[in-house]
Amino acid sequence: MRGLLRNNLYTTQSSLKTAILINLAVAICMVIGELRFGNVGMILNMALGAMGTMFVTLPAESLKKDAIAKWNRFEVTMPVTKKDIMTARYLSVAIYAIIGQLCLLTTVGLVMMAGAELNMERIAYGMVLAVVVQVVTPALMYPAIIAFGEEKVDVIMMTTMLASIALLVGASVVVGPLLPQKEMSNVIFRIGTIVVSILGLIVSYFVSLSMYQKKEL
Amino acid sequence: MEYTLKVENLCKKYKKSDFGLDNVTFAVPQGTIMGFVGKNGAGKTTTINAILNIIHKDSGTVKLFGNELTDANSAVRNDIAVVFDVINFSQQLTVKKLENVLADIYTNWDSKRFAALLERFALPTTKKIKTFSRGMSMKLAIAVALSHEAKFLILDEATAGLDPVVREEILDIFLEFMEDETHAILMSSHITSDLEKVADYITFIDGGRIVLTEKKDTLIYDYGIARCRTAEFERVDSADYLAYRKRGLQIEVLLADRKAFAKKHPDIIVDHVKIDEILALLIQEVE
Repeated sequence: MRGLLRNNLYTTQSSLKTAILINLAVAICMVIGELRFGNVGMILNMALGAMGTMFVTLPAESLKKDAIAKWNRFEVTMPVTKKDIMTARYLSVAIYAIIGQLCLLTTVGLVMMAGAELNMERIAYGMVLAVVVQVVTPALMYPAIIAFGEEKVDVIMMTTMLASIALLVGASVVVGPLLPQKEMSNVIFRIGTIVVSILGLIVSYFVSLSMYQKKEL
Repeated sequence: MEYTLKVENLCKKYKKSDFGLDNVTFAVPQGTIMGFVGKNGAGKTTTINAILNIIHKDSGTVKLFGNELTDANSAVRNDIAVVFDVINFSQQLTVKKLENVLADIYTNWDSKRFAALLERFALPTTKKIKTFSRGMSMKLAIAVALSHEAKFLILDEATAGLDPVVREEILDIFLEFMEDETHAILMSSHITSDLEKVADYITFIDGGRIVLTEKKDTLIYDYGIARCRTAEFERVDSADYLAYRKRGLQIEVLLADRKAFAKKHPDIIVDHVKIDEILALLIQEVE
């Protein structure tokens, strides 16, 4: 399975490097902006959203490149099981999400070190949104791609990304008022959202695996 | 005789198509090259996909090294190497990175052998695969196939689209692979001249059915084609031939025993037959 994981990361290596470099450039711009003009908090929130999105596209990009190369057909002729293939895909998602979060945290950390007074409430919301989108998008995307075909990866990725944002916003609208303590409610909601997203990814893994085992390539 | 591959009564139907495999039965003995011949859409790739478990069969058995190939017993695939008609590796990878991927997957990956084949094929290790020509890509696929100590090579139109020089080079590599008598090759190809050079057996498939499996030497030395006029053909007993087709004023008759036919009908011209002629005659008969 290590080879499959390696292949997934190699195919997106160039985009991953670009995403990390852009994140670094944004972080440097934010630090310079804070040092020279101050009050970059608002811009930072928007930048974090955009930066998080870059990592969401990586699993889709990996699938797209594999589909172009018809790697999937070759993959099943190698000494690996379909479970290995699916596990490698979902582990890649986890790796991209972790790298994405580390980049966002680094940017926030650098800006704070430059002396910015940030609205941590907003920053936390942005980070949760990034985690949810990074986890829920592939959780919805993988089964959809197995069902509808890899040639529709772009449309499916965009749809599932919008769906994941809509789910988070919808959940905050529906669940928010039901939470009792106002001070703690945000924290509970955010942790709950992340836990539910991760559970969703785990459920998605089993659904995708079951579909993939029945699928003819 | 030990068999590397045994396919028995393999059936596969598609819901949205009339095409399907109909009781496909053939075997590849150890130490031999089996040529797998048929026109486009005859069922060659479908059969190969079913052998490799890429598609699910409806019924029948496929045994590789005596075992049914399933998703669970993936270790058997260490002994199988597959080369499709197009290269299936990510275009973004360099050869070096591809090796890193494959070395982590195949338990018997042989880096030295891979390096030797790359050198022999003059393939650069640092260039991305997307920069490779078709010939280079296919050479890379073959280098991969021969670098993990596989015992059975499955080639699906692997030499298609290659120039004669590269094809010759690749056929030599296959013959070297066959120097080990425990090895075997199943080679699907449109280029019957390649099969005439290297194959031990030829299996003809058409419309999802096996039409004929025979030793190549029998096809070349015993089979024949009689070219006669209608009046001459009418005198020929139907038991004396396998198939026939009308070509203009002439009738071409496929014979299983060229010498016996010539003896019986000394006035009819009998020639040696090429594999593509056999294919054409057999298919026409089926249609």
